[in-house]
Amino acid sequence: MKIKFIAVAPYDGWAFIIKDEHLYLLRPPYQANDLIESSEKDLAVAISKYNFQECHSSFDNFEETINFLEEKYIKEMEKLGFSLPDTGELKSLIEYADEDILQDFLDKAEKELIPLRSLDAAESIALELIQLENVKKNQTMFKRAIEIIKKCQHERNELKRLLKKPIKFSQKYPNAIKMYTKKSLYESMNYICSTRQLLPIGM
Amino acid sequence: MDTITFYSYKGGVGRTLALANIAVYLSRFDQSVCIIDFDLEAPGLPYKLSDFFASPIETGLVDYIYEFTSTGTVTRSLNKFLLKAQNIPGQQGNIWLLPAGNILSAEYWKKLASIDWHGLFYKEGGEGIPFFLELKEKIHKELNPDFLLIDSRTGITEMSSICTSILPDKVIFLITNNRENIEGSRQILRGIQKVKRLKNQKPIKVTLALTRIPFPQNNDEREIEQKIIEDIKRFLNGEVKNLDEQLNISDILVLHSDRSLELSESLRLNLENITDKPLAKDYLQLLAKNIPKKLVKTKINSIL
Repeated sequence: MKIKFIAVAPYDGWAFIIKDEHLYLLRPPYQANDLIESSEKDLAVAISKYNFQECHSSFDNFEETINFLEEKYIKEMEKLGFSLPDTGELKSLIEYADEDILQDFLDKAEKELIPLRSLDAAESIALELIQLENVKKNQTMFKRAIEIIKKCQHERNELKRLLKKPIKFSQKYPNAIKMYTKKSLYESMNYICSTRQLLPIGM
Repeated sequence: MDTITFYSYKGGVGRTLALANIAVYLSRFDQSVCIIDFDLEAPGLPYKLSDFFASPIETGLVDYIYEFTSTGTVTRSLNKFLLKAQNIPGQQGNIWLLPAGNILSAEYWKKLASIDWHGLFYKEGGEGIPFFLELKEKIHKELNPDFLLIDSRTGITEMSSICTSILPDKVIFLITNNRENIEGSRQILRGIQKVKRLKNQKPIKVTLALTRIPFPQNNDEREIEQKIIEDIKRFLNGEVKNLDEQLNISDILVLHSDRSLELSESLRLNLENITDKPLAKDYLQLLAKNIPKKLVKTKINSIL
């Protein structure tokens, strides 16, 4: 599977890609069901009106494709001054922070970073926070930070699951194959696909 | 596992209620049953059996299908989608329900709207057929019920056609006595007759049941009922050019209307003195047509 970029909007991580000879719009949070089939016209509008930039990189799978987009996004955010503090800076920022500020950090991790799949950033905020005495004393905040760490792990696993190679037919349908045979299932699929009718009415 | 789809071309004919009653009777006859609410656009099965399913519905068939269409993966276990019936009077076998889903949530309707039925079946390599057969075989493997009863969507859609063509061994086909219903039903019946079956699948056996017919009070009314049945049979069996579409329906059962149901809908659970309970008797006769003779002999004949 080759994925070829045509145009990218690095400030929000959207991109036009070509996969299997079809043009798609890919956008965060990069769900498999969220690929939008697009036209040349859409692409032209995106470049002329929405600051999409031409891009000719190509990748072998979605994992690399998404990493590329996320890197571009982070660079863009850094340019705009939205960069996340590194761990050292973060420590000094939060050491004497009051509860409201700490809550803001948790909000940022949960509501902004996780949906954007910036999981490492979200997780490092939560990990730093749980080490703070103020957070350890505040059970609600402590639990929330733990939940964020768990959510990052869950999201990471989900992403891995989505991006891993397509599951083989025989792994997906072992019971159906045992009962009806693989050959018979394929014949039925092809027949229905060619007649475009599950129930043969009016033929 | 015997898979029986309850289908009607149009709604409001008592299809879901018939399924619910038959599921309860089977459970009383020591048969375990799994019931599926496949009427995804207007789910109703849990309402008919609400006394026996206490826990709220959180997930269901739509979530199961959506998970497949959105990620390409088949959920391993059905456990989280199933509910088990409790406190059914006289229950001996289990009843499991695979509901459509939590229809009170916006999520349900969004998921249903995003399912690409066309892609599942008509796109090259669309895996709808193995996916739904895997679901059926998974039910067989995980629950091992004696019967799988499916409440189908009405009309001619992919949703209903899965229930009338891919999944069933038998179809209980409910019709009412009006022209649009009978004509539409004839189309579907011809279609069912022509369905190409997979290896190890037998031709689909259909039982027709006429509903919304008042119970005859005298001989004249009995004759009228008989005439209606004969007219419908004649119409359904009308000659066609393509012989593979030619129907040969010899028997139509009747599910008589019950005025008390119109006032307050409930299951016909009391099977004592069955002659005083025409609808319950009709349900039992319908059931008797679709279960092994041994079961009819040991469980139903004594009641009838």
